[in-house]
Amino acid sequence: MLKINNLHVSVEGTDILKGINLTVNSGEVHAIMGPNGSGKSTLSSTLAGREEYEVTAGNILFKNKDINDFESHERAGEGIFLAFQYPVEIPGVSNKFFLQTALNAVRKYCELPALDQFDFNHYVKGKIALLQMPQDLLNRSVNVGFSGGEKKRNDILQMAVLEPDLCILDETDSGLDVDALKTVTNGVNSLRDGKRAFIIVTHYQRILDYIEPDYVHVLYQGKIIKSGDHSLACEIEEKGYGWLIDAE
Amino acid sequence: MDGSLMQNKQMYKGKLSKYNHIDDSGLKSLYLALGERSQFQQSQWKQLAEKGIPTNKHEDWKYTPLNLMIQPSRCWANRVMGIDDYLDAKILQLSIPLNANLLVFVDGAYRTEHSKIVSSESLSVMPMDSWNTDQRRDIEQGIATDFVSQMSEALAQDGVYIRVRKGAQLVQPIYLLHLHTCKPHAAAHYRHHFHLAMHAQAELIEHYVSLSDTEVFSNSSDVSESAKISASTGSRLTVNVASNAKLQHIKIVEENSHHVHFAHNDIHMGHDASAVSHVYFLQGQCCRHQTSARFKGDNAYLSMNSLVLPKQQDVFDSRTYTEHCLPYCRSEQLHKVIASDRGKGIFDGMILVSKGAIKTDGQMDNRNLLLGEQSQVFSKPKLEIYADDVKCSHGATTGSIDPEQLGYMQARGMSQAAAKHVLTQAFAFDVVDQHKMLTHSDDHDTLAVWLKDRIAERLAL
Repeated sequence: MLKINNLHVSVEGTDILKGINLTVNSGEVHAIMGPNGSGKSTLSSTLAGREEYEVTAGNILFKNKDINDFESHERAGEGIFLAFQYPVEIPGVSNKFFLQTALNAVRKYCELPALDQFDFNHYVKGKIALLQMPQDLLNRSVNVGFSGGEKKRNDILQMAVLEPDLCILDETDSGLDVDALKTVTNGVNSLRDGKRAFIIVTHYQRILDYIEPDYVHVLYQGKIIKSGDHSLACEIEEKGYGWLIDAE
Repeated sequence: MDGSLMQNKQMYKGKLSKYNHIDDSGLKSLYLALGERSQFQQSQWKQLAEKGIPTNKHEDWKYTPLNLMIQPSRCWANRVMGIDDYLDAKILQLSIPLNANLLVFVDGAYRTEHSKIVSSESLSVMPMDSWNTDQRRDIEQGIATDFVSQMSEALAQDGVYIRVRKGAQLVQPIYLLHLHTCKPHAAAHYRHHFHLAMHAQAELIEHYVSLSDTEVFSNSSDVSESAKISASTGSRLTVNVASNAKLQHIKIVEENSHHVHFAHNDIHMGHDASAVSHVYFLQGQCCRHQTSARFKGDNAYLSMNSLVLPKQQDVFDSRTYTEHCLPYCRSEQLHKVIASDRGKGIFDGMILVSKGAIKTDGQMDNRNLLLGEQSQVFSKPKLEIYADDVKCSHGATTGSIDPEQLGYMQARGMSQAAAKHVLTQAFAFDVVDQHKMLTHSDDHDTLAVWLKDRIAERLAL
């Protein structure tokens, strides 16, 4: 589904990613770990197509298409979803209107007819029930006055509504208490259908207790220096990153 | 040497002068064309002539070109009475579809034959030429008299004195529709007074609309002349909200791009009275509106808001002046400018809290959005507080669309243009959502929907 070849990315002239190779097949869960400043967030932002991130070499193939020239809304249309580290507040735009506009934009991209008010209400109610979220969430402005946990849950609701093929969770666990983490990861798990792939970017292995990864990669100075299974994450939790960096 | 220096000095003085002579404008011939004037109107004219016309060196006239307003030297009024099919069609086309007490003014004149009063048991409407001495006296006290208010007083062509009876609760709004067929070079000034007696409740809508640019120029015989000098309207509305009365006021300006509109409204608040007032500048070449408010009794509540949308080379100027002179009164304000292209927006607001006005709560917020590289906003919120134990604040923010918000929405599949549109609309609709339901009108929703449609249309073009 996703194939990253020798990816080099620079931000404002500084090279951040220096040759990433990663293959994600459908249904797989990959965790990307690494110390601060290793390029984890750059990787997820580059995948989502944020403008400031310039690909200087290599390419990203998504469903066998080179998506380098795709703008971020086109990548969303193709089925890439980024759950933000800090979901943005949008005063004056109701969650419901936001979701409907987003869904219809993606449907339009996929050449599907737009959902009208009635069909959309029915559709979104199903998603809210699936994620066990409060109904009144829909009438509130997007993320305005939401707690940290509510914002992340709201991102998961957007994920459920847009039904992407690849979900990237950028430090979704940061700033969440244990209960909030449980709710958010339950939401993510309920969206695992065996076909949808996930990339979980995180500092800590804590979130991986709830969402079991198939692969764990360690990113350091813009390169993947080690890959393994879930046990690698446990080892890092115990020993830190030092031993891996030293080995490098 | 000396001579040239003297000359230079004089020229310099001329350039820095804060006032020009009134004869340098079209106002005098306009005044003379109006014929007989009341004593009050004459006194206003005299003061105006003595002081002169403020120039852009005057602090209050730095950003708004007054010359556009004072060029026209003719008045429109040609009182052709009787039902006019063309006008009927235009009224139907340009008015807000409300089930209202409709008062129609065309090119400066009140047209009773096109008007319709449905709540006649609760309100009385007196046209200007039949005002009695008491009514004339009622209109004479201004709160913050300035050039605009005196100009409209002196040059008023027509207007109505509306009185809502004590305790009356109007379900149908009172809708003042001012339709302008925009003969170039001409001006019209309106003078209205609205009295809401004790315990009464009503909604008052002021709507100023002119024929579209294309319509005006296809009618006009001399395009070159009309292109030079704009048409103009001035208006002055004084409102008296008696004790325990509730007022909902909405003013909408949709003049065409060769039309200038200047206005000054006064709101007098009795004790325990409440009022919510909104001003919308959707279209026009240059618009300026000031609302001046004074609390005449304690424990009153007033909310004043505005949304102005200057585009291309429009200049839209929205001002408020609030006098808190008695204790326990509350005022709230939200003013927004969305400037596109080379549009220029101005907000100027002043809250004055006199000594003794304890427990005053006055909030003034000005938020502005710049959409064009060359659009401008000038904001001047002011507080003057002479009382202890008050809660007052003002704030102003000006910025462009938040790239973080834009990025977030694009990541959810919306194109940049679509995301911008959603964000701009949300910013604008916020003002419409501040219409608080103070009164029991059937048409609140109709009006809000109509307004939002118009705003969306204006922002989309």
